[in-house]
Amino acid sequence: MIRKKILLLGDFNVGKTSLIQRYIDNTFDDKYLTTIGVKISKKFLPVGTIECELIIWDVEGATPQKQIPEQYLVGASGAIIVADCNREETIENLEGHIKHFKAVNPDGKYVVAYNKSDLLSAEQHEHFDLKPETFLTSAKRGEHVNDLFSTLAKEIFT
Amino acid sequence: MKNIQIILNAILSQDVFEYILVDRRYRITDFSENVSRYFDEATQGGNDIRHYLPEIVGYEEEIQTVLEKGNNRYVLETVYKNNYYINIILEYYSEEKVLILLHNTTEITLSKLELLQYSNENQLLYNTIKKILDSQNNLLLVTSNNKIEYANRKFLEYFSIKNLDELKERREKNFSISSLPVKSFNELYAYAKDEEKELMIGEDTFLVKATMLETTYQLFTFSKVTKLSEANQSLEEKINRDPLTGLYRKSFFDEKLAEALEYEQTVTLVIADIDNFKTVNDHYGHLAGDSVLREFADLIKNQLRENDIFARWGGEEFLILFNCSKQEKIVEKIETIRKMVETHSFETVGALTVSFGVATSRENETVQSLLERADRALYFAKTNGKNMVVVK
Repeated sequence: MIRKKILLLGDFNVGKTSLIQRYIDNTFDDKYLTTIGVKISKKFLPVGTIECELIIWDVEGATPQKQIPEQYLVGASGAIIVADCNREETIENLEGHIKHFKAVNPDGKYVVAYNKSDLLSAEQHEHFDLKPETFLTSAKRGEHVNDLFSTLAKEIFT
Repeated sequence: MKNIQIILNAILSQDVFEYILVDRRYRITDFSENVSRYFDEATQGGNDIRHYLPEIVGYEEEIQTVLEKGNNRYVLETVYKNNYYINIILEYYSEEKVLILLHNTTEITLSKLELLQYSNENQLLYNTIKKILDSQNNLLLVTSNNKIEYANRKFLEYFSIKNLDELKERREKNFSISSLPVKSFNELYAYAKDEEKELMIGEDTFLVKATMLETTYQLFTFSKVTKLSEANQSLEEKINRDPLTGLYRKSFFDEKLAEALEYEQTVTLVIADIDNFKTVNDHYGHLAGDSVLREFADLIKNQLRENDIFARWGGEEFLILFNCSKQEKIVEKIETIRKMVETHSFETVGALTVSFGVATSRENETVQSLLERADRALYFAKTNGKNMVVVK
């Protein structure tokens, strides 16, 4: 069994916990409950003939007052960097989270999720500027959530 | 000795600490009785610790460092496990074993969580309110005890201030926003607390309104009016102009004439009527007729002073108001214009003539009576051969 640690990083209230909840349990809860510290979830994921397990770290969101402790980032093979596509400041902060992650894990892979796409209008959704390895996701509707995790897993395991 | 003490402490305070011993291959060799409460299933010796504590995945190098260097120690704080919050501490136990201490911090973490939830919700609310304030077109400023507390983006942009911190620094220098005609914000508050007041900042005019928020905060709203008044002027100009010739409309002319008579100014009113204009329309069509009206208006306009008011009454009739009491001079000027028109060749239609009726205001003159006299003069010109200037 190959186990790999992946992180969900981003500002607070961008939907990191909800993305994991959708991916692991296929459920969603609208109520905002702040995450403190870390919570780990596991997901079995066969990649070809290899038995793999993702150890998914739901890390508490960064706030203007508190950045993510480095101890949480140690030994991660990959990260999903999450922003709320409706909150500009969380998008502006993506680069900072990527730098932080890469500083601790220079070989680590990452993908970017612009979450809460269900709040965008149809026109905004259509014209959203997406770069490669970025996803417009909705934990509420389940849009592109599996793609997000499986793309990162492929990057890590291949 | 130090490690034995740690284990002893752990045993003595079982509610707070649990422990697991693992070997170099991450196999569990020993564990405390209640450690399983943190896991989904009962702990079994010989199993891989990573099965129970997946948090260790990625930390393998750190475990090896603990074994090799002896004095290294790693702490992973606030890990949520099976409804508990714990700190995971990796300690050297022996050359072959690492001690993993699980420190229960649930009680204190739940208190922290409550505070964090409250703080994050407030931050979200603050961000939303800030967005609303920043989207305002007006400049907003909040002060308390003469110190700046908040300014919206428009305010910062207007004064070329990078951020709120920089603005607050200005407070220390006695508000070096020198263009404000007051020495302190308390003075500005007193100035604008009852109603909107005009205020010049540089070349711009603002309306400033001060509002007290609760008991200590003063909200200042600066609404820029320069642009608005420019827009109003342009709109007014449009309303007062005849779209075909660009001259003033009769309504505007009447207004100005009434004003002049009200202030008892002596004015001379001239009515001009293009002779036989109907035949122009009949022979050359209305488009050619419109072209003649435009050309005629430009021709006359060029002969007038800036303060003379030139308007189109309607059709081929025009009005000129001279702010001048010397009627002879005006008649002379009109005669010059009449001759100029007579010799001018209009596009498409060629030569045309124009008749003028002139009247100068008398004591107690009204708009109506002056217009009537000028109109009678024009009628006389029209019925006595046209192409002439008649004074009444």
